[in-house]
Amino acid sequence: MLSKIMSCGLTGLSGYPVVVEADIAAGMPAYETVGLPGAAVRESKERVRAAIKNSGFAYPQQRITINLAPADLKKDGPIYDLAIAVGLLCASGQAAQPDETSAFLGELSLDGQLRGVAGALPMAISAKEAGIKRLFIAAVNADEAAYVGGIEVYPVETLGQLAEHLAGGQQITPLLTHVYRPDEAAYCAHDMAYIRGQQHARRALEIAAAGGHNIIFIGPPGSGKTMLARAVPGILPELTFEEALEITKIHSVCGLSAGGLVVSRPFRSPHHTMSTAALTGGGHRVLPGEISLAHGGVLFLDELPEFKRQALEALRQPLEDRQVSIARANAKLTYPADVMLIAAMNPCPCGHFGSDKPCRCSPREIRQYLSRISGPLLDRIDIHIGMNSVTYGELTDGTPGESSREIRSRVNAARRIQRERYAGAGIYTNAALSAEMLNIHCALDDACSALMQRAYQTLGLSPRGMARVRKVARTIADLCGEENIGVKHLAEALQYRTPDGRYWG
Amino acid sequence: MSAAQEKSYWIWMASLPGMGAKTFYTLLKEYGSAADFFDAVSAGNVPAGLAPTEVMAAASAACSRARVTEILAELSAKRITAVTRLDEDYPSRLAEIPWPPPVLFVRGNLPALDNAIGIVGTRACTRRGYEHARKIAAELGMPVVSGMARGIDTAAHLGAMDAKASTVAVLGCGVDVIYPPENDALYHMIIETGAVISELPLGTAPAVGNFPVRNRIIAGLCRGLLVVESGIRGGTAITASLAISYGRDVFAMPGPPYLEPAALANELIAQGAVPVRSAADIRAYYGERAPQEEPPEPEPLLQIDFFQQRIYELLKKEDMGIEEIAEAVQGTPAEVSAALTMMEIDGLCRRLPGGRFGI
Repeated sequence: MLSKIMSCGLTGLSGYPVVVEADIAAGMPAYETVGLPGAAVRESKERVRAAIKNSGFAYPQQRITINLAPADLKKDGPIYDLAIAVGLLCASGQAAQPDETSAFLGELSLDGQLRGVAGALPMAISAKEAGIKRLFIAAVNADEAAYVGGIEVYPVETLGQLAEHLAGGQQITPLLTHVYRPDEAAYCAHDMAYIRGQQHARRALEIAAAGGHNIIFIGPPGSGKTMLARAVPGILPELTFEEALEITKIHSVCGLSAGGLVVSRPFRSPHHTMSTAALTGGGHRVLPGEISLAHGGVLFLDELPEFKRQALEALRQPLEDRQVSIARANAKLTYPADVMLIAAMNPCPCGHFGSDKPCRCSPREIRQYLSRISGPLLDRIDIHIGMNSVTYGELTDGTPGESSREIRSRVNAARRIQRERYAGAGIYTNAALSAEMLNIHCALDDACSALMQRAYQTLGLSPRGMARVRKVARTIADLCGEENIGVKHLAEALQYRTPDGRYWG
Repeated sequence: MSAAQEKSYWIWMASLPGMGAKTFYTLLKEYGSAADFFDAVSAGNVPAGLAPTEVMAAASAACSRARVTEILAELSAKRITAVTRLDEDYPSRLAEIPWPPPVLFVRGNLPALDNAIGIVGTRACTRRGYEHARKIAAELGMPVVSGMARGIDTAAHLGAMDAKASTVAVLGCGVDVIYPPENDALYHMIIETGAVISELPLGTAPAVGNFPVRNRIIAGLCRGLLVVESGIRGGTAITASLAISYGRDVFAMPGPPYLEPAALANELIAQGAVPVRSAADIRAYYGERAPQEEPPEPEPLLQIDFFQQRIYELLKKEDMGIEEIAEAVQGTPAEVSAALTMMEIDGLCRRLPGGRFGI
């Protein structure tokens, strides 16, 4: 007997339909899986056998062949367990053959329970696009898949329950399509209101969030760099459904989605010992890296000079292109990587240079420490902020600062202005402005040009530094709701420039 | 034995590693001259106990005419002159101290140091202390002696050179060794207009023990010693106590009592040192008047608005961060940032590490 069951595979962030064919033929008991199965797919044999037996069915003691079509794509992961088990039950006449608009996804445990799999959301999306009407999936993945809409999602607990459903007995109720709603509570978990002092840094973060600028904090330990960075996802605009879907896809593929959609902007803070592949993506299975997991949110690199130079250099291209392309022998994939980079570092190895506490480093040590960060990477960071420790008075001052919600409303307004201005240009924020667009959208009037020229002469700005200052000035003007860049915007923007030779000698 | 020959043996003796001034003079007294000591070493009849064994070992190892010639050749190749106590141009004040250095290795031209002022202080100085030390050194109109270390020493040398006055740096390593390495440029500037000197053999690396010995030369060379900023203990304190024991005038720049780097100067003042606010105080002490009574520096003509004026007044008192300024002038960080940029461009303030501003 032969049966054909629909399932799904995954490459990168997109799924593709897979047909699981199960054939039971007379002969010596044997089990063969074909269609480029990976190790986890091969091992499904043992899980499927135990699950069928422990669910009260008979395991066919005959010659079994499983084919995963298309046969030229490599399949990996335990996602085909359920489809194989259903196929065997149908082929052995113990269950009714489902029609080909039903797809099955899930890993089996030996007792017949269904476990969740990575990548449920992207597979559900591709299943829908492939014409699948019903998706049978582990209950833990069901919430995530139910956001897709246009496809019935059946949360399956056990193999037995599913067989009952297929046989027309006790039916499983499909989930209602979930409606996306941004989570205000998640947004306020790290509210700006809790941060004391650091008015200057708060202002800089608001500008950075409004214009999508990358930002670097340079300050001694305990100046609140990490706390400030944590609060940034909360002042970025609320996620749209499309963004939430895309972010969830990435997290889902990595097995990080905790059921349901990602409803707040991600904050990823990789440790500085992280490898290049873990940061940008890659590895054996070519999974997304931290920069893609931070897509739509914040990538926070604390202790920037401690990161491996190679890893930092690998970030340059993704920061520019807002996506990562990974080519390996067996795959060539592109993952989105539109992040706001927040970097933090001490000004010197001991951390106290320029602060109230004495610094123990020699000028040479400081120079060496700072030179670990390359100029090209710094060129991608528009806003530089020098910080000092928070004083005792500021820490204990009971008056809360402005809340994230208030700041977010201003950020939203500024982003709206930018979206309208760049409609059709393929960019959404000031940070993404190219050199040609800079002259159109960041034009300087006579007074501003005069200021810029004097700044160039007296403050030691580089040509690239000037371009960055103009972008930031554009964002400040947008935050003020003003059409043109004014002198006060430009003057403020100049304050966020790269510290002079004292830091980057 | 000609004087030139005897001088070459002095230089040979002073170039022996581990040879301190005390040992030098003990040996000289015993043998009458450096040449006789040389002969005794080459004959191998120097009794033990006169000098430390490692010095004697070094002496017997280097006891050849070829070595003497080699040292002299190295000196001239590196354009280093050696001034011995036998020479006319040996600094007269230095000769007065107990155990004066028998030989000074000099890079550059040793200026007349009769009215020299030593300026010393900590490496970890405050920015204001650094700037004030530099200003005093510049306005002094007298040669400045210091140790070419980081911090106050650097400020002292630079100040003297700002005013085109001569300056002498006394090193705690060989005169051909540049330490700290970032003072490479300073070293070459000093030998243009003044001198870098050391009593240690060429090539001696900077070692902790060398510096107190070096400090006695600074104290010995100068007529008066100005202590700028320093903790209560450390090299500066040693130099100051040596200066007192040599009968030098001791000056000290007072500072706020809560500031750790002001501790030593305040302590010295409490013990009777002359408080020095500006170069004029030192000049007045020696009965000199400033070349012409300069009127106090006029306030920079401020073409700035009221807001910037207020920030300027604040920064005159102390360095501040944007938040502190914003709080004091009741402005937003954005307004203050913009104002500070304008002031920076006009040279009215400057940005310091750690997000602070000062004038």
